[in-house]
Amino acid sequence: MVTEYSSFEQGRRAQGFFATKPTPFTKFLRTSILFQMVRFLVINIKMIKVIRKSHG
Amino acid sequence: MSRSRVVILGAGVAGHTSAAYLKKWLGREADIIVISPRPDYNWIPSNIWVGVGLLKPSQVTFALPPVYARKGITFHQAKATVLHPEGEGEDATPFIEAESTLEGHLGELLRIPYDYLINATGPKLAFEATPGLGPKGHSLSVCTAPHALEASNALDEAVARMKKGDRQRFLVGTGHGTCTCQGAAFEYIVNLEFELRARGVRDRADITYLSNEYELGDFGMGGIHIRRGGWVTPSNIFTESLFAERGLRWVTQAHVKGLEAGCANLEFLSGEDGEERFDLAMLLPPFKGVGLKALDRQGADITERLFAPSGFMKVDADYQAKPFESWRASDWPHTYQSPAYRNLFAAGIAFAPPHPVSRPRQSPKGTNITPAPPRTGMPSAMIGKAVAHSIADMIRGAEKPTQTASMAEMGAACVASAGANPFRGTAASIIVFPIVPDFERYPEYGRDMNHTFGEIGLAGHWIKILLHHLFIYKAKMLAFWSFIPE
Repeated sequence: MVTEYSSFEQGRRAQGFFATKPTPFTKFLRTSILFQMVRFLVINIKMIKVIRKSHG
Repeated sequence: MSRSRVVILGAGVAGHTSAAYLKKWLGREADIIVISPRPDYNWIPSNIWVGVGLLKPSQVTFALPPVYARKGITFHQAKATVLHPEGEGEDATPFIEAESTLEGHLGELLRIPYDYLINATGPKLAFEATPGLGPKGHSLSVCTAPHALEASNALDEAVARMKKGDRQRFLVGTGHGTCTCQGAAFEYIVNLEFELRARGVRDRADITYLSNEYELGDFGMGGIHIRRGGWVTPSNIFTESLFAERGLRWVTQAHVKGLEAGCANLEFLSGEDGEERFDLAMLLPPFKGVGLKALDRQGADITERLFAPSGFMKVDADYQAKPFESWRASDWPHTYQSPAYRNLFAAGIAFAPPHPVSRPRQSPKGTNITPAPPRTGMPSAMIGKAVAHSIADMIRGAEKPTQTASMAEMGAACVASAGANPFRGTAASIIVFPIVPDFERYPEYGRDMNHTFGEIGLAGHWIKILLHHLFIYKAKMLAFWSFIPE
């Protein structure tokens, strides 16, 4: 079966074709509870450092 | 000796922060008076979730009068109209004129004297800059909680049509060539896409991001660079990746000339015209100053002396017109004191930026298509706190402002929701330092790469939820509120 795409759909596909996309493993890590608990701590520490630096 | 009177115009992030700290630091030494046309505080970053139907307006707002009554802060529900920084006639006491917006007292004139005044009015949402833009025209907005609720209702109707088998076109982005707040449009489009998937109709949606940015990921900050995974990656790659992954189409370098029902007429930076058709459009308006006037003691109009043509207030910035290559981080204001009057300050969005951060660009027709600089919650709160500290010190005898909060010397943490679900949701956590790039201190990228950071993940969503509750708690000035940083 040949899928017919509208010109809009063709444009969309071409635009996204050259963009960087995450691998399945990266996607898994993004919502992995254990990994994200670690990232939660890391991001908070980074934010606190920037807040402290901004307050001078 | 009579107590000093500090008047704050506006009860948004900057104004409310100033009022809270002034009361904390000065206690009974000063009368703190807040004038705001609306009686509610709105935690604006969470409006995105109202706009996709995940929160109710009552979950992102609360009534200010009871909070102020509990803390001993005077509140007037009124819209400031005319500033008299020299007083009037024989009386040299500065004062502000305001029109009541309180039900039953609509239009009543108030005349409130002050010793110090903080202009923290935030922006006027200039929908009128683009014919047909805005909830009274053909597009929606998430700038206020009621606007976000309208967007949510329109989304429900669109989903109902999709469930009947119709295909729907969504257009999300900026509604004018000089808009700022691309971050809000970015958050809305990725949340919209996530929500359409959650409601099982994503396959019937064509979603387009429309922006005045030269490239995706500019965000009015000239883009940022992020060090991660062994690479320094520009934010256009980061943003394109997020959009491509979600099947979102994007159109950049666009000024919206006007909107008709179902169609946005565009002008591109190249000078070409174009159009985007839609069934639902959420397009942000450009921001302007709220239109305060200023009169001197004799009644002569001195508005141009105090305010930039945009309506934002001039402060201690370098407003000299100069080419992009000559812009310096040091052009940005430090104390936010008016150069004209020592007892007058502007905080948050109300101050006039010296120039955009993104490189200014014009189409061959002369249309300015340049994102305006961003001024999000974190810098607004930090500026509000610094101004409050300076005023408290000046009331206690300091000759000049004692605190600085330059956007070229402070960082910002931005958590942009990319789907709200406690287990499957994600958010982009972005930290930049400084907000305004400083190419003299950081020649390569303008920013400190040890403190500039970005990643997408569920942890970001948890942080976004945490910040929502923390900052609403803080704004309610409940126990130990001041321990929560800005």
